[in-house]
Amino acid sequence: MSLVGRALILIALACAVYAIVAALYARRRGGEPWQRSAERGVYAVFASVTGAVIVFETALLGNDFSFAFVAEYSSRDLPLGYKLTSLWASQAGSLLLWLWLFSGMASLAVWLNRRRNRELMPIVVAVLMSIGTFFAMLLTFVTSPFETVIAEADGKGLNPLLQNDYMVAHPPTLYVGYVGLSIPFAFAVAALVTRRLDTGWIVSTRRWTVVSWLFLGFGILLGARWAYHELGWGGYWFWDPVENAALMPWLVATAFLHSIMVQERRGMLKVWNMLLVGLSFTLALFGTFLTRSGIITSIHAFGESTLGPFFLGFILVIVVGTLVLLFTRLDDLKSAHTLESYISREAVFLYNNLLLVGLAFAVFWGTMFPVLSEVATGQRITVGPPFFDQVALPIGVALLALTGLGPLIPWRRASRDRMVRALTVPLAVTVAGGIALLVFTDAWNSFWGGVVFTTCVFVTACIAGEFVRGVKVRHAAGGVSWPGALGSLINRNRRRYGGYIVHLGVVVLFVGLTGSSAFTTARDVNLAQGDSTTVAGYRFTSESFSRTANSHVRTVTLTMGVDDPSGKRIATLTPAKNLYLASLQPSTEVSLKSLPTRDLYVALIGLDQRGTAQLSIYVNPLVSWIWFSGLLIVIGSVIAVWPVRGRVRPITPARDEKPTSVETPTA
Amino acid sequence: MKSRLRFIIAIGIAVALGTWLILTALGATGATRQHVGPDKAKGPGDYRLNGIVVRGAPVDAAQAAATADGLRFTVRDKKNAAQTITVVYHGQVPDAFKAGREITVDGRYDGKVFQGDRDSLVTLCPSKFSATDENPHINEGMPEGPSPHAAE
Repeated sequence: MSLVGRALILIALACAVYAIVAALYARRRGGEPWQRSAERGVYAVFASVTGAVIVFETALLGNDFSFAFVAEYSSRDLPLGYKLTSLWASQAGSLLLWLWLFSGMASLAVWLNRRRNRELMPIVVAVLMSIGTFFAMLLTFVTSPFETVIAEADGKGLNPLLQNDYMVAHPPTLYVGYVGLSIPFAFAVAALVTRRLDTGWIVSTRRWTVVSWLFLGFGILLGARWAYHELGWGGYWFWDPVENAALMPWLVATAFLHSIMVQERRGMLKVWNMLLVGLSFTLALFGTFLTRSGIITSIHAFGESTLGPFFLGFILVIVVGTLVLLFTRLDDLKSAHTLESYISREAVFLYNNLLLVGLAFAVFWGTMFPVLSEVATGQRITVGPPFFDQVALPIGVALLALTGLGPLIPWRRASRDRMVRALTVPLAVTVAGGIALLVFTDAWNSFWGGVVFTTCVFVTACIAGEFVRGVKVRHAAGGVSWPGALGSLINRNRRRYGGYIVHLGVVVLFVGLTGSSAFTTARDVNLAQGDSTTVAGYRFTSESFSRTANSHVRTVTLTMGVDDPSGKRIATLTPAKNLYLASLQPSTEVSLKSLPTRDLYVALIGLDQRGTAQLSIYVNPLVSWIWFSGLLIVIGSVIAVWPVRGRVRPITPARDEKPTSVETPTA
Repeated sequence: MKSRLRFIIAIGIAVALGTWLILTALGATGATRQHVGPDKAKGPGDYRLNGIVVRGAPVDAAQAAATADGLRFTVRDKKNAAQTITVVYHGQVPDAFKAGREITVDGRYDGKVFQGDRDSLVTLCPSKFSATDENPHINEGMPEGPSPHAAE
């Protein structure tokens, strides 16, 4: 079995190398048959890696402890679902997952373009298969997932922290985002090489970018939810290097998604877009490097493996190659127009881009500061969460404000009268909302909390105004009800209104982030059976406890009653502590009641034999809004990328226009 | 418009503001700490300590950290096992904390004991890409209730 797995990876490597050679040869005149052959090579890579994954999974399901990874990360009593997902518990396994998802997406990209972009496809295939070759070489020569050991009766088992549904989904979701960014990058390189530098490559890869961005963001959210439910410290984000590694490409991809609209509409920012697409893919690779090099200390696993130099070398090749290619094509990348006004849609996109890339740089700086300071001074200086909070907060608020402002400002330039007309209602709503927050809530107890909530009111007013204006126009045209007008509006302008729904999701996200970070209440208490404590007005009572055991895990569970401030029983919480027998590691099982306005969150630290429980109790406002924002962002993104049947309306270059033009793309 | 000059000025201001923001944030209290192993924390000062938990850490680490005395354990240097430092800590203890695990903890070293900041203890996840345990039995029996003895 091990030999079969190794052979399949080797075949994948050979096919990837062949695909590169055939694709490059296909650029000669009459090379289409070679190109077809190269594309079949891509499919063959996917098929071979799929075979290797099947071998891997078969070993896991069959408890074949002669495989090193099965002995190290699985055990006989591990539940079936976790056995299957142990694939990405090991370093080699996670790289195999990377290669599998990557080759699958590369195959999909090749298949979707089998009749399109034929001039670009040879280079696209060569670039993609170069990336595939790198990963296949790592799995062949550096870290094989098919290492064998002398089989023992049972394995060590999967880390209890990973035995969680969110962790089952988090890595593959994140990886889809990472590998997906390789497709726009490959098309960008192909456009540079072939000098086909119109908007064709952007149009062809926009959906890839949105989908990759969505998966990356959703993966980050799943990771945050895992941390919230599994780690028991009441939070979901720690500015840990591994978290930052996923955030950086997401930020740059967000900038790219916005700046390509400027290129589509105004023929500007061509070099910038090339830089962004290169940077987003490089940062995706950098994240993979960061988690495997051991150069940064992280809460996550940073085994000091031998992979770091290989990744660093590959990243350098990508960066240098892209920059050289870019510099040799600068003459072909001149903007069709210049910025006419600093109060225009394209200027807002530029500000948005500078802020997003600036934030990504700040996160990079903070993450790499220990390494940089050690190189510069010999002392390893670590940057803590206060740095990230202080930088991210003002930038985040500015970005949020631009989210509302951008759609109100027309392309090219905005007259003062038009701006006054566009902003009067949103600003009036914002002032009213700010006063209401001051009078009826404690939002302004935190300065930044008040600022963020008030900005959220502004953005919501702007977005709602866009919908209201659009629906009114549709309804006035006659023959449709109000809901029908809304449906028709979204259906006919999916990209724009899908984008607005995403923006609404971002507003909800900011509300959740602010509420749960600035207004949380936490208390560590000891409660004997029958004792109560009050946290943020909610009364928590320790009622009973139980102990259970099976062959896999021993568990102690506390039953707690929770009463709201009026004395009404609203929840029964059951925080627990597990001991996983294979690894002899404890695991805190948080119990929480999620309400629309707050989460009641309890972690059991310990329980003595008399039944006195040590507890950490949190009342976290608005956390559920964070998870709800993910749903809105998914819905908006799906609407924005959903294919249009029939004739595709081309993007019209921007002329003097109305700010509510129904053709205006927003995402 | 004299777009190029204005553009350069605007970008210059943006970069200056960004730099100011980063420097201000770096100067913020508690934002930065010298990252050391037990062999490097020679003089008193604020550090982020990184090392391996040695045998003798309490079985009921989380409960110990919630008491007035706090959780007391010893950390050794990752490369030089002879270099150790005693840590006293209060607050949250990650489930993965036990002998053999790599940890980081922020705090102040007074020349004898490292006093950890509340809730700053982080256990580097041994899950994904490596790590063997120095003492796999240290938390045995944990759910049965606290045991006052130190494991092995």
